[in-house]
Amino acid sequence: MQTSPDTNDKVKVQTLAELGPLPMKMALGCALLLPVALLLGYTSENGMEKFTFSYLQSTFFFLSISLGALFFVMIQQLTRAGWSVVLRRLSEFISMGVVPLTVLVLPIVVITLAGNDILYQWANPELVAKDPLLPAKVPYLNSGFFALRYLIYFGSWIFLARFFLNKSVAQDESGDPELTLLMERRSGPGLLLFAFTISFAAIDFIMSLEPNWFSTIFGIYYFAAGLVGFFSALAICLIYLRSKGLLQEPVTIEHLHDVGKLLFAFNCFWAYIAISQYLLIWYANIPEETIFFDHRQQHGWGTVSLILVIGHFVIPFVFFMSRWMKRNPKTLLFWAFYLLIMNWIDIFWLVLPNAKSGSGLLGVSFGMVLVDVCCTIGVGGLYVAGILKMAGNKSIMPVRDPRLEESLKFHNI
Amino acid sequence: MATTIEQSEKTIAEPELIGLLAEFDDPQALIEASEKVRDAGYRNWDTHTPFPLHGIDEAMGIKFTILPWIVAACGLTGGTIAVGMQYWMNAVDYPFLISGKPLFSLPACIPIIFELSVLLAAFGAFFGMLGLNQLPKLYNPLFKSDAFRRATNDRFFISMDAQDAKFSEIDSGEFLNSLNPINVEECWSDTSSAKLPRNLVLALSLVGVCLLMPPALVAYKRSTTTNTPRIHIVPDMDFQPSLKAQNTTNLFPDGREVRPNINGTIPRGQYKDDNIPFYYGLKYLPEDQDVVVIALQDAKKADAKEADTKKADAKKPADAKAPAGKPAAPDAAAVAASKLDKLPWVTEFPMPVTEKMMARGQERFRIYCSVCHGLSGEGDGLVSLRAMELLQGTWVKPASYHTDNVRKLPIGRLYHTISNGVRKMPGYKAQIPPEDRWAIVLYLRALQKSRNTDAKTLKPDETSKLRDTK
Repeated sequence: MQTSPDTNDKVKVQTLAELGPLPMKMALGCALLLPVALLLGYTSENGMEKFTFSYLQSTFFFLSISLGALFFVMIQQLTRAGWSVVLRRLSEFISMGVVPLTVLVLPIVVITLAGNDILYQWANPELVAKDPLLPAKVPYLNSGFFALRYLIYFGSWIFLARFFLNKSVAQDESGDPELTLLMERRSGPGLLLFAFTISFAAIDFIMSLEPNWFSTIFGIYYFAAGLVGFFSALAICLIYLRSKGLLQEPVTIEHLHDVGKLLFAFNCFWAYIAISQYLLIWYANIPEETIFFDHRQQHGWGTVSLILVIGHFVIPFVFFMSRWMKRNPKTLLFWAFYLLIMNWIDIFWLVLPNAKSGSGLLGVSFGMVLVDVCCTIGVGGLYVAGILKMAGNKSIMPVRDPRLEESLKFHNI
Repeated sequence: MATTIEQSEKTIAEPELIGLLAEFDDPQALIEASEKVRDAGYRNWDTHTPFPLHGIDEAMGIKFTILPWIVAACGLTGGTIAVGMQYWMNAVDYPFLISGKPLFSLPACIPIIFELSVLLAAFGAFFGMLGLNQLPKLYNPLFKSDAFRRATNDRFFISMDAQDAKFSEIDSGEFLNSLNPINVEECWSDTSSAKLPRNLVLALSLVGVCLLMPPALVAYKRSTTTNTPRIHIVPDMDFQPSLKAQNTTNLFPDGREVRPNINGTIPRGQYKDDNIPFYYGLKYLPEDQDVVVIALQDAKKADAKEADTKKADAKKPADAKAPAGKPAAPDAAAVAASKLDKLPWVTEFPMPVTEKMMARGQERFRIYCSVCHGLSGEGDGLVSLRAMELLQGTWVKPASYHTDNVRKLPIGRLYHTISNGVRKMPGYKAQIPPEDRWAIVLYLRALQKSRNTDAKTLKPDETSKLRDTK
């Protein structure tokens, strides 16, 4: 493999710093909403439950996006993809979001270690002793092992994200094609590690909110949700950066079209996984499995479920299928925002129905949504600020990737 | 001379000009030329390239295909058929409750909706594409051009059809030449015979004959018998390890493969204790609930003994046959009968009596009862007549309904007899649902009344009806 010297001269090195200080200021401004959410939670009825669950929802919403990015980076390396080289650096930046998220998720682990059962019933030994099934799950569901697993998951993700970003940045300097081969070799085992960690992380942090319930497809469900979130975020970032004059020439409508295709495909994949989970549970009709959907059909959660079925799948399936929808940056931007919001509702629907107070499980309410929106914007501010900080003065495109030429000339048939 | 000229005209058809073919060696030149042809207003023309060419659609002025709409229509048709089909099969044609689910439920239909939508959409895409492109086309006159062979390699062509309204041999040729092609050639229609080659006809006939062989073999096998056992293609479906009713096994201590109901369980739809008169024909269940069963068993035992004695009697010489009709164990039968007599049988129908119920009773009676008991209930049904004719020793003639004994029986007892049988008569509760059994009891009462009514109690219109009926 050889670098093509002619591209080295043609391609201009651009960085996110060219956007000026405004994005960073905006992100940090948004982060101010996090204390507001805490205050809202503190003052309203059952507010601390709402806030804690909202915080878990917010961190895992952004985590799904970063993990989607990490998956995308590795699968592109593994498959020797050429078309995506101009998008890859941006995906690597987004995958680095696992670093701020490690800090942001830490309070959840700390309060669970301290024996607080606001999120996880299994952290309370008295509740566990009363339950007929939970004592058998104690060897896995205990706060010590939970904290250890947190370290393993986030450690693996930071390791993978940093490895692929650093090697790729190193190539910007050296142009060494060996680095591409190295990343290709590492992406196989990396994906295997990724598959295990994302599945078990989804089980530990979200599925165990309802410790008696289980679904073997749950990890893939979270993965599918994450890819929808990531491709939405990637499309939004690309269109925003192009409007600011970054990546305007390298990223063409052809690349946007492909991102749109992947977004559409993984949205269908999400629907496929969701119906697979629902159908089996519906068919078997076993109380300890149906409890998940039973609760999500009551106290207003039924409306949220229907919004997901129709809004997350049916509407985009019918209207986002057309080729021109994906090839027009304006319509693509609309659908990316739309599906990002749907992905947010999806994680909201996974986490928040488990919020409980003394009298039982909480129904969906305006106050809950308000706290969650504030919390998400707050966490999102910190998340974006962290990514911007780490992106720093790194080039926004792998300028000396051996497949850059192919990516620049990429054309859909 | 004239005749020979005519003949020659017949044998060799004049070749017609089919169109013009312009050859280019550069895709860009083809696109530029195509734009000019498009602007000149030609409609019946095409381009041929070795690979898909970007921008050729616009250059040729081709409208965006309607294929997506065909695919969408086919997909929607598939989805609709899937919903309709599953609704018809599950909720209308063969309603069957599966694990308490509704007869028609959308979640269960989704996989089939998905599959049929995809299948019909794929058909729509495939056949729609073929149809819109007028494929398959086995022959194109352009294939005769030697230059045209390079259309799959490194040359680019514009072909113009002579059918086009604007086409004229000279003007169009000049026009094509003005586009700077490498070459313009004329395409002439093929004048050679359209007859199939002899070898091809032979080969096709051979294939046709071969294709006839499998159905012929199947027809032969179907119409003849064989001593060799059948082939089991899927042995683990033919010989399943599952247990079957009526078979024996040593898996269970009682040796039966079919399992009785578990004590204290009630099969779905068989809860009876909320309507004892309807299900049992009793006003209330006696305190000792087993009495019904025991009485029944005793009666059956008595019958069995009777039958045994009769069998034994039948073997005796003809002169000793006389006492055969009498029960040999009158004690047991009498005890059982008296136990049954003491039960609190209902005397009123546990449901409103209607014309409809009477009609139903008549219909069911004629189906189930009349073969032995006869249409009028005298015990002269065809089965009985035939058995008597054959002088079968074990046959007990069915009781006539028109005796004082039977008339006196409460309707609950009649219902019980239909349900559980008596003497040689088997119980019918497995075949006849309870409401039909009550309908039969009603009809039976009507039969009895038709033979045992004082003419004086009849109303005038009824007597006149009797008189007029022929």
